Amino acid sequence: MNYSSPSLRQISAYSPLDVLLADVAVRVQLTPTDYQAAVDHYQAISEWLDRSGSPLEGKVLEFYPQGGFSIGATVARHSTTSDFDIDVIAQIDWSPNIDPEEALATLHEAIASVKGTRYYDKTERKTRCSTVNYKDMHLDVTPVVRTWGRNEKTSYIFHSKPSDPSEPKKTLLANPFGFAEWFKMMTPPDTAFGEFFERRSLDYNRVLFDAKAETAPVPDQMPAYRKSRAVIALQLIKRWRNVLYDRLYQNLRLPPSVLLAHYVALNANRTNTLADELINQVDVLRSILGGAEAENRLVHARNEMCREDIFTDRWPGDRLNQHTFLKELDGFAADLRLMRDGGLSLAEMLKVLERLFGERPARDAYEGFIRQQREDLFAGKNVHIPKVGAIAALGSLAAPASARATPYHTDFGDPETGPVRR
Amino acid sequence: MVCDLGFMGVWEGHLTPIFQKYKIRITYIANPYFDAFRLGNPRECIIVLDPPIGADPRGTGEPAQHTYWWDRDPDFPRLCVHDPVADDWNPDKYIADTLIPFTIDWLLWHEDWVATGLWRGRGRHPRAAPTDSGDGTGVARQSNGQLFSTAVFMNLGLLSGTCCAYRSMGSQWSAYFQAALPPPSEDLSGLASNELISHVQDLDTDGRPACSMGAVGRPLPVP
Repeated sequence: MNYSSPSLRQISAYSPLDVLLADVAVRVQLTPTDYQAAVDHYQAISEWLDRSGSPLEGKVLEFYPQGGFSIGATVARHSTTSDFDIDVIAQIDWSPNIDPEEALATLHEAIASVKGTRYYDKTERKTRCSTVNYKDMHLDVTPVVRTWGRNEKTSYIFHSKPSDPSEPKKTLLANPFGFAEWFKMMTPPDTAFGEFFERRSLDYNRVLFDAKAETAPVPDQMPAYRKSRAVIALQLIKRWRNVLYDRLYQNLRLPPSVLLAHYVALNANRTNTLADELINQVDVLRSILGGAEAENRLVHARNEMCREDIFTDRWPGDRLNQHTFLKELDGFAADLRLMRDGGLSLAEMLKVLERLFGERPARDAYEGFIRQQREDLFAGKNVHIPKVGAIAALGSLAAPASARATPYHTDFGDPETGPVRR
Repeated sequence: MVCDLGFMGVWEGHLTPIFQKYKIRITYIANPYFDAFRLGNPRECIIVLDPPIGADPRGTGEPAQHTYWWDRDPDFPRLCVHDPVADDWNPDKYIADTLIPFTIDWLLWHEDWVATGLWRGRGRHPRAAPTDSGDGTGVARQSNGQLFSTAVFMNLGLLSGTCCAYRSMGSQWSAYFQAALPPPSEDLSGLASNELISHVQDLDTDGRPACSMGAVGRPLPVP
């Protein structure tokens, strides 16, 4: 699908690295179809909680997404599977003084209900939420009680671990809704990149549908996928973190997504390309963690919309965690610079992408890149850019004004078998 | 342009098809015909100077795809970016409009081939050895119409110094292949390489060795 003419000029200037990085992000996020499935799931849960006879009947005041799902930055949790975390908030009409265990247990009972009901075998109790397991995604439902006289939707959340009585129960102030709104305000998409990413996401969805021979229509537009470069950079950082910790640090706690999102939002969209945005964001993280390391302290960050909502309450926890992440960020930054400036061959580029973001999405993005070039070649639409001697990164979909059509030609050469060479 | 001899020119420049930058040399012979001889080189020759394509780009023992690699410096095969049978390119077409974009394409598909082992650009390889007509697509034949031994054909090329330009080789040896010289009287297929060379030398050759790159064929009568 081609791009609209006002955006075309900017999109046509994207480098092959920008395209490959965007396509990796397309392949590690929720597809538009999965996104719609997630929305359907959480709406179904919302209705289920309010069903007749439920312990929460008539008490669910609001039900809304939070976390990565609310800011469009959901990525697959593990390197080898498509397993997404969808976080939702259930605002319940309780007293703020409710016992944390009672709050969490009541929510769990309302979802799981009794044996034989739809969520009974799918629901797990966690320390701050209940998780409903679906194929390829988890829905984490967190109960909250709204406070008043604070920023919109500032709420109490609850912490209780019945399997470990030594762990104290807590009632904490948080505002995930306010954070999501603040994040979106700080990371507005520019029109061209937003359109580009939306198209790539929908086109990929169509490819998946074709591969599965499914017939459900993919919409022509899906505004949730008009994302900024900063959001895509965040998704790629989260994906890199997931792959890295899966591979090397399975016993360490992951640097939390909300902390990464916080820093990305504070420094968003200060560059002109996706590759530059990603490198800039990684450099900012290195600078913040490096500064803390230099001062022999741990990083500290809080929700801009709720001072009591501390993002660093559970991570890094100790200097080892912080130092480990900083060391890995240094390597990540070096790899990104190698991809942007190192003049790598496609084979080398593919290896770096696989190492950073996982084999499947990297190879799939690579194949998408080649597929476009190949379709252009065999349709007689391939182009080149004379001054630099380059191909157009998006081929005929968005060729720069300087591009020229490449005349028809067929590569030839010596037979593959021949006399022994001297 | 790094060399201009009037009848031929050599250009060197850089191309960056995707990420990697290549230094390319294109040699073009505008006029191969002289009073009493003809240059045996191909009219155009494209090689990658830096980084070299290499003899075994994938580390699997396969030479680079779609190159003229027989009897060339293994690191610098000549890129074959157009089909000599088709009219993709001829000396009437501007190099900048044809050979340069062809080379950009070739480098893209070469890089993809190195990464995946698949040549996914457009291309075809000849099924047999170089040909009597010099276009690299047919089969060399003796004057009696019998198929010519590939080994003999190649050794003639080596001795004449035109193996780098085998499309010209057929022309150079056209008399031998077609009419003027008698065909080999015996089956040569069982001969060892040195015996074969000796046999060919006895027939018609000065035994001139081939150059490794950019070889110039021995003087030829103008057809």
